[in-house]
Amino acid sequence: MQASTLPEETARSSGASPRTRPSFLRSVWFELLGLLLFVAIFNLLPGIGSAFNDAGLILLGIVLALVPAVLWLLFFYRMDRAEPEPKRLVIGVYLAGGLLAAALYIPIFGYLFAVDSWLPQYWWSQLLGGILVVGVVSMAIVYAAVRVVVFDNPEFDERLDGIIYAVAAGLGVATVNNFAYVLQHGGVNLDVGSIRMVTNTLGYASAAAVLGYFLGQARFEKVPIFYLPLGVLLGALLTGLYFFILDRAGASSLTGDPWRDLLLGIFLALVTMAAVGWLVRRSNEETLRVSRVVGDGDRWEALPAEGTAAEGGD
Amino acid sequence: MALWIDRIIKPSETNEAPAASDQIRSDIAVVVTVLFALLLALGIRNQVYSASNTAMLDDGALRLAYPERWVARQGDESSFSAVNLGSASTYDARLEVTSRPLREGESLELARFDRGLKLASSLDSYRELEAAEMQVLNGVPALVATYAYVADPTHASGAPDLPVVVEGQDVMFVLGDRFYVVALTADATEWEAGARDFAIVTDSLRLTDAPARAPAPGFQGGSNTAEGGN
Repeated sequence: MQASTLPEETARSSGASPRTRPSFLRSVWFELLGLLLFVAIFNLLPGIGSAFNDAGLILLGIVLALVPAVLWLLFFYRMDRAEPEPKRLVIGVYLAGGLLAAALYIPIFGYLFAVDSWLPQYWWSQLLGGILVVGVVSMAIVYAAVRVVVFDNPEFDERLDGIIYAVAAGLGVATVNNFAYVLQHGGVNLDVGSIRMVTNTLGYASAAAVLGYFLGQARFEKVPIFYLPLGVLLGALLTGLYFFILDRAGASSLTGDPWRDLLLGIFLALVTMAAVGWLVRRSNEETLRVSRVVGDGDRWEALPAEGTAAEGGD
Repeated sequence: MALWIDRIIKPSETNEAPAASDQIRSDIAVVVTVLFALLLALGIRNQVYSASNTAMLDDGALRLAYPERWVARQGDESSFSAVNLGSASTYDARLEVTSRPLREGESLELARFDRGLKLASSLDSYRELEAAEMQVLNGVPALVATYAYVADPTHASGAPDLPVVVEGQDVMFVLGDRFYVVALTADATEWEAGARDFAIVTDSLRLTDAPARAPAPGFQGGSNTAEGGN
Protein backbone atom coordinates (compact mmCIF):
# COMPACT_ATOMS: atom_id res chain seq x y z
CA MET A 1 0.00 0.00 0.00
CA GLN A 2 2.15 2.84 -1.26
CA ALA A 3 0.61 5.93 0.15
CA SER A 4 1.69 9.27 -1.13
CA THR A 5 -1.80 10.41 -0.19
CA LEU A 6 -3.18 8.77 2.89
CA PRO A 7 -6.57 7.09 2.51
CA GLU A 8 -7.82 9.03 5.52
CA GLU A 9 -6.85 12.28 3.79
CA THR A 10 -8.45 11.08 0.58
CA ALA A 11 -11.61 10.34 2.49
CA ARG A 12 -11.56 13.79 3.99
CA SER A 13 -11.18 15.55 0.67
CA SER A 14 -13.55 13.42 -1.38
CA GLY A 15 -16.17 12.61 1.17
CA ALA A 16 -15.69 8.91 0.46
CA SER A 17 -15.97 6.37 3.21
CA PRO A 18 -12.66 5.38 4.83
CA ARG A 19 -11.65 1.90 3.72
CA THR A 20 -13.02 -1.00 5.61
CA ARG A 21 -10.73 -3.62 7.15
CA PRO A 22 -12.69 -6.79 7.86
CA SER A 23 -9.42 -8.74 7.69
CA PHE A 24 -8.44 -7.44 11.11
CA LEU A 25 -11.54 -8.58 12.94
CA ARG A 26 -11.59 -11.88 11.05
CA SER A 27 -7.99 -12.50 12.06
CA VAL A 28 -8.93 -11.79 15.69
CA TRP A 29 -11.64 -14.44 15.51
CA PHE A 30 -9.29 -16.96 13.94
CA GLU A 31 -6.64 -16.10 16.51
CA LEU A 32 -9.07 -16.96 19.30
CA LEU A 33 -9.97 -20.24 17.63
CA GLY A 34 -6.31 -21.02 17.07
CA LEU A 35 -5.47 -20.30 20.69
CA LEU A 36 -8.28 -22.56 21.87
CA LEU A 37 -6.92 -25.32 19.65
CA PHE A 38 -3.43 -24.65 21.01
CA VAL A 39 -4.65 -25.02 24.58
CA ALA A 40 -6.78 -28.05 23.74
CA ILE A 41 -3.79 -29.93 22.30
CA PHE A 42 -1.89 -29.67 25.56
CA ASN A 43 -4.85 -30.28 27.81
CA LEU A 44 -6.63 -33.08 26.03
CA LEU A 45 -3.55 -35.20 25.38
CA PRO A 46 -2.62 -36.50 28.81
CA GLY A 47 1.03 -36.88 29.75
CA ILE A 48 2.39 -35.03 26.73
CA GLY A 49 4.86 -33.23 28.97
CA SER A 50 6.32 -36.40 30.43
CA ALA A 51 8.28 -37.01 27.25
CA PHE A 52 10.48 -34.00 28.00
CA ASN A 53 13.21 -33.50 30.57
CA ASP A 54 13.75 -30.14 32.35
CA ALA A 55 15.86 -28.62 29.57
CA GLY A 56 13.35 -29.85 27.01
CA LEU A 57 10.50 -28.25 28.95
CA ILE A 58 12.36 -24.93 29.02
CA LEU A 59 12.99 -25.06 25.29
CA LEU A 60 9.43 -26.12 24.61
CA GLY A 61 8.15 -23.36 26.89
CA ILE A 62 10.14 -20.76 25.01
CA VAL A 63 8.73 -22.01 21.73
CA LEU A 64 5.22 -22.00 23.22
CA ALA A 65 5.69 -18.41 24.37
CA LEU A 66 6.00 -17.43 20.73
CA VAL A 67 2.96 -19.37 19.53
CA PRO A 68 0.19 -16.83 20.28
CA ALA A 69 2.08 -14.05 18.52
CA VAL A 70 3.03 -16.19 15.56
CA LEU A 71 -0.57 -17.42 15.23
CA TRP A 72 -1.89 -13.88 15.14
CA LEU A 73 0.68 -12.75 12.60
CA LEU A 74 -0.08 -15.77 10.40
CA PHE A 75 -3.83 -15.24 10.55
CA PHE A 76 -3.51 -11.54 10.02
CA TYR A 77 -1.44 -11.97 6.88
CA ARG A 78 -3.71 -14.69 5.55
CA MET A 79 -6.72 -12.39 5.99
CA ASP A 80 -5.05 -9.19 4.95
CA ARG A 81 -3.59 -10.25 1.61
CA ALA A 82 -5.64 -7.68 -0.28
CA GLU A 83 -3.94 -4.71 1.38
CA PRO A 84 -1.28 -6.00 3.71
CA GLU A 85 0.65 -3.89 6.14
CA PRO A 86 4.36 -4.28 5.39
CA LYS A 87 5.67 -7.33 7.20
CA ARG A 88 8.83 -5.53 8.22
CA LEU A 89 6.82 -2.85 10.00
CA VAL A 90 4.50 -5.22 11.86
CA ILE A 91 7.40 -7.46 12.85
CA GLY A 92 9.51 -4.40 13.66
CA VAL A 93 6.86 -3.07 16.06
CA TYR A 94 6.46 -6.54 17.57
CA LEU A 95 10.21 -6.82 18.13
CA ALA A 96 10.43 -3.27 19.47
CA GLY A 97 7.68 -4.03 21.99
CA GLY A 98 9.44 -7.23 23.02
CA LEU A 99 12.90 -5.67 23.26
CA LEU A 100 11.66 -2.70 25.28
CA ALA A 101 9.84 -5.06 27.64
CA ALA A 102 12.92 -7.26 27.98
CA ALA A 103 15.07 -4.21 28.70
CA LEU A 104 12.70 -2.49 31.14
CA TYR A 105 10.76 -5.16 32.99
CA ILE A 106 13.48 -6.38 35.34
CA PRO A 107 14.91 -2.93 36.17
CA ILE A 108 11.47 -1.43 36.75
CA PHE A 109 9.51 -4.32 38.24
CA GLY A 110 12.38 -6.08 39.98
CA TYR A 111 14.68 -3.32 41.22
CA LEU A 112 12.82 -0.01 41.19
CA PHE A 113 9.46 -1.25 42.42
CA ALA A 114 10.25 -4.74 43.77
CA VAL A 115 6.65 -5.63 42.94
CA ASP A 116 6.82 -9.15 44.35
CA SER A 117 7.34 -7.79 47.85
CA TRP A 118 4.21 -5.63 48.05
CA LEU A 119 1.90 -5.97 45.09
CA PRO A 120 0.19 -9.25 46.13
CA GLN A 121 -0.18 -8.25 49.80
CA TYR A 122 -3.64 -6.66 49.64
CA TRP A 123 -6.41 -6.63 47.08
CA TRP A 124 -6.10 -2.87 46.69
CA SER A 125 -2.32 -2.97 46.25
CA GLN A 126 -2.76 -5.70 43.67
CA LEU A 127 -5.37 -3.68 41.78
CA LEU A 128 -3.67 -0.28 41.99
CA GLY A 129 -0.18 -1.71 41.48
CA GLY A 130 -1.43 -3.74 38.53
CA ILE A 131 -2.82 -0.60 36.93
CA LEU A 132 -0.16 1.94 37.87
CA VAL A 133 2.96 -0.21 37.48
CA VAL A 134 2.25 -3.22 35.26
CA GLY A 135 -0.41 -1.54 33.13
CA VAL A 136 1.23 1.84 32.74
CA VAL A 137 4.68 0.43 31.98
CA SER A 138 3.26 -2.06 29.47
CA MET A 139 1.21 0.61 27.72
CA ALA A 140 4.15 3.04 27.73
CA ILE A 141 6.17 0.34 25.99
CA VAL A 142 3.42 -0.19 23.40
CA TYR A 143 3.16 3.57 22.88
CA ALA A 144 6.92 3.97 22.47
CA ALA A 145 7.18 1.02 20.08
CA VAL A 146 4.43 2.32 17.78
CA ARG A 147 5.49 5.94 18.05
CA VAL A 148 9.14 5.27 17.25
CA VAL A 149 8.87 2.52 14.66
CA VAL A 150 5.80 3.28 12.60
CA PHE A 151 3.83 6.34 13.67
CA ASP A 152 5.33 8.74 11.12
CA ASN A 153 5.60 6.12 8.40
CA PRO A 154 3.35 6.70 5.36
CA GLU A 155 2.25 3.07 5.61
CA PHE A 156 0.35 4.05 8.75
CA ASP A 157 -2.49 5.31 6.62
CA GLU A 158 -5.70 4.28 8.37
CA ARG A 159 -7.08 4.59 11.86
CA LEU A 160 -7.27 0.83 12.18
CA ASP A 161 -3.52 0.62 11.52
CA GLY A 162 -3.03 2.12 14.97
CA ILE A 163 -4.77 -0.90 16.46
CA ILE A 164 -2.91 -3.37 14.25
CA TYR A 165 0.52 -2.00 15.16
CA ALA A 166 -0.35 -1.55 18.84
CA VAL A 167 -1.58 -5.15 19.03
CA ALA A 168 1.72 -6.25 17.47
CA ALA A 169 3.64 -4.30 20.15
CA GLY A 170 1.36 -5.75 22.86
CA LEU A 171 2.09 -9.24 21.57
CA GLY A 172 5.81 -8.44 21.90
CA VAL A 173 5.27 -7.49 25.54
CA ALA A 174 3.21 -10.65 26.13
CA THR A 175 5.89 -12.82 24.53
CA VAL A 176 8.55 -11.48 26.89
CA ASN A 177 6.22 -12.05 29.83
CA ASN A 178 5.68 -15.61 28.72
CA PHE A 179 9.45 -16.10 28.31
CA ALA A 180 9.97 -14.82 31.84
CA TYR A 181 7.28 -17.17 33.16
CA VAL A 182 8.95 -20.18 31.53
CA LEU A 183 12.43 -19.26 32.75
CA GLN A 184 11.29 -18.48 36.29
CA HIS A 185 9.50 -21.80 36.56
CA GLY A 186 12.32 -23.85 35.03
CA GLY A 187 10.17 -25.00 32.17
CA VAL A 188 6.47 -25.07 31.63
CA ASN A 189 3.65 -27.18 32.91
CA LEU A 190 2.15 -27.78 29.51
CA ASP A 191 -1.52 -27.78 30.41
CA VAL A 192 -1.71 -24.91 32.90
CA GLY A 193 1.24 -23.13 31.27
CA SER A 194 -0.33 -23.09 27.83
CA ILE A 195 -3.50 -21.54 29.27
CA ARG A 196 -1.52 -18.95 31.16
CA MET A 197 0.32 -17.95 28.00
CA VAL A 198 -2.91 -17.54 26.14
CA THR A 199 -4.55 -15.47 28.88
CA ASN A 200 -1.42 -13.31 29.13
CA THR A 201 -1.46 -12.74 25.42
CA LEU A 202 -5.15 -11.89 25.29
CA GLY A 203 -4.77 -9.40 28.13
CA TYR A 204 -1.88 -7.46 26.66
CA ALA A 205 -3.21 -7.56 23.11
CA SER A 206 -6.67 -6.32 24.16
CA ALA A 207 -5.31 -3.45 26.24
CA ALA A 208 -2.90 -2.53 23.46
CA ALA A 209 -5.81 -2.46 21.02
CA VAL A 210 -7.50 0.22 23.13
CA LEU A 211 -4.34 2.33 23.11
CA GLY A 212 -4.01 1.62 19.39
CA TYR A 213 -7.40 3.18 18.79
CA PHE A 214 -6.19 6.42 20.37
CA LEU A 215 -2.95 6.28 18.40
CA GLY A 216 -4.93 5.80 15.21
CA GLN A 217 -7.02 8.87 15.97
CA ALA A 218 -3.98 10.95 16.90
CA ARG A 219 -2.30 10.03 13.63
CA PHE A 220 -5.00 11.71 11.58
CA GLU A 221 -6.55 14.36 13.77
CA LYS A 222 -5.30 17.15 15.94
CA VAL A 223 -6.24 15.78 19.34
CA PRO A 224 -6.50 17.54 22.70
CA ILE A 225 -3.48 17.26 24.97
CA PHE A 226 -5.19 14.78 27.29
CA TYR A 227 -6.16 12.43 24.47
CA LEU A 228 -3.12 10.15 24.19
CA PRO A 229 -2.45 10.10 27.98
CA LEU A 230 -6.10 9.03 28.31
CA GLY A 231 -5.42 6.20 25.87
CA VAL A 232 -2.39 5.07 27.88
CA LEU A 233 -4.36 5.23 31.13
CA LEU A 234 -7.35 3.34 29.70
CA GLY A 235 -5.04 0.65 28.37
CA ALA A 236 -3.30 0.49 31.75
CA LEU A 237 -6.64 0.33 33.55
CA LEU A 238 -7.74 -2.53 31.34
CA THR A 239 -4.46 -4.41 31.87
CA GLY A 240 -4.66 -4.02 35.64
CA LEU A 241 -8.34 -4.95 35.82
CA TYR A 242 -7.90 -7.93 33.51
CA PHE A 243 -5.16 -9.55 35.56
CA PHE A 244 -6.85 -8.57 38.82
CA ILE A 245 -10.13 -10.20 37.80
CA LEU A 246 -8.33 -13.32 36.60
CA ASP A 247 -6.44 -13.57 39.86
CA ARG A 248 -9.45 -12.91 42.04
CA ALA A 249 -11.49 -15.42 40.08
CA GLY A 250 -9.10 -18.02 41.43
CA ALA A 251 -6.64 -18.29 38.61
CA SER A 252 -3.53 -18.32 40.72
CA SER A 253 -4.82 -20.30 43.61
CA LEU A 254 -4.24 -24.01 43.95
CA THR A 255 -7.95 -24.64 43.69
CA GLY A 256 -8.38 -22.34 40.69
CA ASP A 257 -9.70 -23.65 37.44
CA PRO A 258 -7.45 -22.59 34.53
CA TRP A 259 -10.23 -23.29 32.04
CA ARG A 260 -12.40 -20.73 33.78
CA ASP A 261 -9.49 -18.30 33.39
CA LEU A 262 -9.29 -19.03 29.73
CA LEU A 263 -13.00 -18.51 29.16
CA LEU A 264 -12.92 -15.33 31.21
CA GLY A 265 -9.87 -14.11 29.27
CA ILE A 266 -11.53 -14.82 25.93
CA PHE A 267 -14.72 -13.12 27.08
CA LEU A 268 -12.87 -10.00 28.22
CA ALA A 269 -10.81 -9.94 25.02
CA LEU A 270 -13.95 -10.24 22.88
CA VAL A 271 -15.70 -7.46 24.79
CA THR A 272 -12.65 -5.21 24.40
CA MET A 273 -12.21 -5.95 20.72
CA ALA A 274 -15.92 -5.41 20.11
CA ALA A 275 -15.76 -2.07 21.92
CA VAL A 276 -12.70 -1.03 19.95
CA GLY A 277 -14.31 -2.16 16.69
CA TRP A 278 -17.39 -0.09 17.52
CA LEU A 279 -15.24 2.93 18.29
CA VAL A 280 -13.38 2.59 15.00
CA ARG A 281 -16.63 2.33 13.06
CA ARG A 282 -18.02 5.40 14.78
CA SER A 283 -14.79 7.28 14.14
CA ASN A 284 -14.87 6.40 10.47
CA GLU A 285 -18.46 7.59 10.31
CA GLU A 286 -17.43 10.80 11.99
CA THR A 287 -14.58 11.27 9.53
CA LEU A 288 -17.03 10.84 6.71
CA ARG A 289 -19.54 13.25 8.22
CA VAL A 290 -17.03 15.99 8.88
CA SER A 291 -15.45 15.57 5.46
CA ARG A 292 -18.79 16.22 3.78
CA VAL A 293 -18.74 19.89 4.46
CA VAL A 294 -19.77 22.74 2.35
CA GLY A 295 -17.00 25.16 1.59
CA ASP A 296 -17.94 28.78 1.69
CA GLY A 297 -14.79 30.86 1.62
CA ASP A 298 -13.02 30.21 4.88
CA ARG A 299 -16.17 29.12 6.62
CA TRP A 300 -16.80 25.41 7.01
CA GLU A 301 -20.12 24.04 7.99
CA ALA A 302 -20.51 20.44 9.04
CA LEU A 303 -23.43 18.46 7.67
CA PRO A 304 -25.82 16.95 10.20
CA ALA A 305 -24.90 13.49 11.39
CA GLU A 306 -28.24 11.81 10.70
CA GLY A 307 -28.46 9.81 7.54
CA THR A 308 -25.12 10.83 6.11
CA ALA A 309 -22.89 8.18 7.55
CA ALA A 310 -24.76 5.01 6.80
CA GLU A 311 -22.21 3.77 4.33
CA GLY A 312 -19.24 4.37 6.59
CA GLY A 313 -17.71 1.95 8.97
CA ASP A 314 -15.78 -1.17 8.57
CA MET B 1 -20.29 9.25 30.10
CA ALA B 2 -21.82 9.85 26.69
CA LEU B 3 -19.88 13.11 26.51
CA TRP B 4 -16.63 11.30 27.21
CA ILE B 5 -17.35 8.63 24.61
CA ASP B 6 -18.19 11.42 22.19
CA ARG B 7 -14.85 13.11 22.87
CA ILE B 8 -13.06 9.80 22.36
CA ILE B 9 -14.79 9.24 19.04
CA LYS B 10 -14.53 12.84 17.90
CA PRO B 11 -11.40 14.37 19.39
CA SER B 12 -11.41 17.32 17.00
CA GLU B 13 -14.26 19.26 15.45
CA THR B 14 -12.59 19.83 12.11
CA ASN B 15 -10.56 16.70 11.30
CA GLU B 16 -7.59 19.01 11.02
CA ALA B 17 -4.41 16.99 10.51
CA PRO B 18 -1.96 17.18 13.40
CA ALA B 19 1.27 19.16 13.10
CA ALA B 20 4.58 17.70 14.25
CA SER B 21 4.50 20.03 17.25
CA ASP B 22 1.10 18.62 18.26
CA GLN B 23 2.52 15.13 18.30
CA ILE B 24 5.51 16.20 20.36
CA ARG B 25 3.16 17.91 22.79
CA SER B 26 1.20 14.66 23.08
CA ASP B 27 4.45 12.73 23.64
CA ILE B 28 5.38 15.03 26.49
CA ALA B 29 1.92 14.68 27.99
CA VAL B 30 2.23 10.88 27.85
CA VAL B 31 5.68 10.93 29.48
CA VAL B 32 4.40 13.20 32.27
CA THR B 33 1.37 10.94 32.78
CA VAL B 34 3.52 7.82 32.97
CA LEU B 35 5.92 9.42 35.45
CA PHE B 36 3.02 10.65 37.57
CA ALA B 37 1.47 7.17 37.60
CA LEU B 38 4.78 5.62 38.64
CA LEU B 39 5.16 8.18 41.44
CA LEU B 40 1.68 7.29 42.65
CA ALA B 41 2.69 3.63 42.55
CA LEU B 42 5.74 4.38 44.70
CA GLY B 43 3.41 6.00 47.23
CA ILE B 44 1.19 2.92 47.24
CA ARG B 45 4.22 0.69 47.68
CA ASN B 46 5.36 2.71 50.69
CA GLN B 47 1.83 2.56 52.08
CA VAL B 48 1.93 -1.24 51.89
CA TYR B 49 5.40 -1.40 53.43
CA SER B 50 4.43 0.77 56.37
CA ALA B 51 0.94 -0.60 57.03
CA SER B 52 0.93 -1.78 60.62
CA ASN B 53 -1.21 -2.76 63.60
CA THR B 54 -0.51 -2.05 67.24
CA ALA B 55 -0.16 -4.61 70.02
CA MET B 56 -0.33 -3.85 73.75
CA LEU B 57 1.12 -5.73 76.67
CA ASP B 58 0.54 -5.41 80.39
CA ASP B 59 -2.41 -3.02 80.17
CA GLY B 60 -0.69 -0.73 77.72
CA ALA B 61 2.65 -0.54 79.50
CA LEU B 62 4.27 -1.52 76.22
CA ARG B 63 2.85 -0.70 72.80
CA LEU B 64 4.51 -1.77 69.63
CA ALA B 65 3.65 -1.99 65.96
CA TYR B 66 3.84 -5.02 63.72
CA PRO B 67 3.17 -5.44 59.98
CA GLU B 68 -0.54 -5.38 59.26
CA ARG B 69 -0.48 -8.49 57.10
CA TRP B 70 1.12 -10.62 59.81
CA VAL B 71 -1.26 -12.87 61.69
CA ALA B 72 -1.40 -11.93 65.37
CA ARG B 73 -1.87 -14.30 68.28
CA GLN B 74 -2.54 -12.56 71.55
CA GLY B 75 -1.58 -14.82 74.41
CA ASP B 76 -2.16 -13.78 77.99
CA GLU B 77 -1.63 -10.26 79.28
CA SER B 78 2.12 -10.59 79.06
CA SER B 79 2.74 -12.30 75.76
CA PHE B 80 2.01 -11.59 72.12
CA SER B 81 3.12 -13.07 68.84
CA ALA B 82 2.61 -12.37 65.16
CA VAL B 83 3.58 -14.53 62.22
CA ASN B 84 4.15 -13.72 58.57
CA LEU B 85 2.35 -16.62 56.92
CA GLY B 86 3.48 -15.29 53.54
CA SER B 87 7.15 -16.00 54.26
CA ALA B 88 9.07 -17.58 51.41
CA SER B 89 10.63 -20.09 53.82
CA THR B 90 9.04 -23.03 55.58
CA TYR B 91 9.99 -21.17 58.76
CA ASP B 92 7.64 -18.18 58.93
CA ALA B 93 9.17 -14.90 60.06
CA ARG B 94 7.71 -13.99 63.44
CA LEU B 95 7.59 -11.63 66.34
CA GLU B 96 7.29 -12.87 69.89
CA VAL B 97 6.96 -10.49 72.80
CA THR B 98 7.04 -11.67 76.40
CA SER B 99 7.37 -10.04 79.76
CA ARG B 100 7.90 -11.25 83.30
CA PRO B 101 8.47 -9.57 86.66
CA LEU B 102 12.09 -8.96 87.59
CA ARG B 103 13.29 -11.14 90.42
CA GLU B 104 14.62 -9.54 93.51
CA GLY B 105 18.03 -8.04 92.83
CA GLU B 106 17.84 -8.99 89.15
CA SER B 107 19.28 -6.48 86.68
CA LEU B 108 18.86 -6.25 82.91
CA GLU B 109 22.21 -8.00 82.43
CA LEU B 110 21.23 -10.89 84.72
CA ALA B 111 17.84 -11.26 83.08
CA ARG B 112 19.50 -11.31 79.68
CA PHE B 113 21.95 -14.00 80.91
CA ASP B 114 19.01 -16.07 82.11
CA ARG B 115 17.29 -15.72 78.74
CA GLY B 116 20.47 -16.77 76.92
CA LEU B 117 20.75 -19.91 79.06
CA LYS B 118 17.16 -20.88 78.34
CA LEU B 119 17.60 -20.45 74.61
CA ALA B 120 20.88 -22.38 74.61
CA SER B 121 19.28 -25.29 76.42
CA SER B 122 16.08 -25.41 74.40
CA LEU B 123 17.17 -24.66 70.83
CA ASP B 124 19.17 -26.91 68.55
CA SER B 125 22.70 -25.66 67.71
CA TYR B 126 22.03 -22.31 69.36
CA ARG B 127 24.81 -19.78 69.23
CA GLU B 128 24.93 -16.11 70.00
CA LEU B 129 26.47 -14.10 67.19
CA GLU B 130 26.53 -10.57 68.48
CA ALA B 131 25.39 -8.42 71.38
CA ALA B 132 25.10 -4.68 71.74
CA GLU B 133 23.97 -2.06 74.21
CA MET B 134 21.23 0.09 72.74
CA GLN B 135 18.22 2.00 73.97
CA VAL B 136 14.49 1.91 73.35
CA LEU B 137 11.52 4.20 73.99
CA ASN B 138 13.59 7.36 74.10
CA GLY B 139 16.27 6.44 76.57
CA VAL B 140 15.41 3.10 78.21
CA PRO B 141 18.60 0.99 78.24
CA ALA B 142 18.30 -2.18 76.17
CA LEU B 143 20.43 -5.13 75.19
CA VAL B 144 20.17 -6.54 71.70
CA ALA B 145 21.40 -10.08 71.11
CA THR B 146 21.64 -11.62 67.67
CA TYR B 147 21.72 -15.40 67.50
CA ALA B 148 21.10 -18.38 65.27
CA TYR B 149 19.85 -21.92 65.69
CA VAL B 150 18.52 -24.81 63.64
CA ALA B 151 14.77 -25.39 63.39
CA ASP B 152 12.82 -28.12 61.67
CA PRO B 153 9.46 -26.48 61.02
CA THR B 154 8.05 -29.19 58.76
CA HIS B 155 9.13 -32.13 60.92
CA ALA B 156 5.89 -32.32 62.85
CA SER B 157 3.80 -32.50 59.69
CA GLY B 158 5.98 -35.25 58.24
CA ALA B 159 7.03 -33.19 55.24
CA PRO B 160 10.48 -34.01 53.87
CA ASP B 161 11.88 -30.42 53.82
CA LEU B 162 15.34 -29.68 55.16
CA PRO B 163 15.85 -28.08 58.56
CA VAL B 164 16.26 -24.32 58.51
CA VAL B 165 18.94 -22.09 60.02
CA VAL B 166 16.97 -19.46 61.90
CA GLU B 167 18.39 -16.05 62.68
CA GLY B 168 16.96 -14.19 65.63
CA GLN B 169 17.31 -10.89 67.38
CA ASP B 170 16.18 -10.26 70.95
CA VAL B 171 15.59 -6.73 72.14
CA MET B 172 15.61 -6.89 75.94
CA PHE B 173 14.81 -4.09 78.33
CA VAL B 174 13.24 -3.31 81.69
CA LEU B 175 10.13 -1.17 82.08
CA GLY B 176 9.03 -0.54 85.63
CA ASP B 177 9.64 -3.83 87.39
CA ARG B 178 9.14 -6.04 84.37
CA PHE B 179 11.64 -7.58 81.98
CA TYR B 180 10.58 -7.44 78.33
CA VAL B 181 11.89 -9.49 75.41
CA VAL B 182 10.93 -8.57 71.86
CA ALA B 183 12.18 -11.45 69.70
CA LEU B 184 12.30 -11.29 65.92
CA THR B 185 13.15 -14.50 64.09
CA ALA B 186 13.26 -15.59 60.45
CA ASP B 187 14.97 -18.03 58.14
CA ALA B 188 18.54 -16.66 57.97
CA THR B 189 18.40 -16.58 54.18
CA GLU B 190 15.22 -14.46 54.35
CA TRP B 191 16.45 -12.06 57.01
CA GLU B 192 17.38 -9.29 54.59
CA ALA B 193 14.12 -9.71 52.69
CA GLY B 194 12.19 -9.24 55.91
CA ALA B 195 14.21 -6.26 57.11
CA ARG B 196 11.43 -3.81 56.21
CA ASP B 197 8.92 -5.73 58.31
CA PHE B 198 11.28 -5.94 61.26
CA ALA B 199 11.94 -2.23 60.98
CA ILE B 200 8.23 -1.59 61.63
CA VAL B 201 8.66 -3.31 65.00
CA THR B 202 12.01 -1.80 65.93
CA ASP B 203 10.98 1.67 64.77
CA SER B 204 7.90 1.52 67.00
CA LEU B 205 10.21 0.65 69.90
CA ARG B 206 12.37 3.61 68.87
CA LEU B 207 15.41 1.34 69.00
CA THR B 208 18.59 3.42 68.72
CA ASP B 209 22.25 3.09 69.53
CA ALA B 210 23.13 3.73 73.14
CA PRO B 211 24.94 7.02 73.71
CA ALA B 212 28.69 6.57 73.91
CA ARG B 213 29.99 6.36 77.45
CA ALA B 214 32.40 9.06 78.49
CA PRO B 215 35.93 7.70 78.94
CA ALA B 216 37.23 7.52 82.44
CA PRO B 217 39.42 10.51 83.42
CA GLY B 218 43.00 9.94 82.32
CA PHE B 219 42.03 7.06 80.02
CA GLN B 220 44.04 7.17 76.80
CA GLY B 221 43.25 5.35 73.57
CA GLY B 222 41.05 2.32 72.91
CA SER B 223 37.38 2.22 72.16
CA ASN B 224 34.99 4.39 74.08
CA THR B 225 32.01 2.18 73.39
CA ALA B 226 30.57 -0.46 75.62
CA GLU B 227 31.89 -3.98 75.40
CA GLY B 228 30.18 -6.26 72.93
CA GLY B 229 29.23 -3.43 70.61
CA ASN B 230 28.24 -4.24 67.13
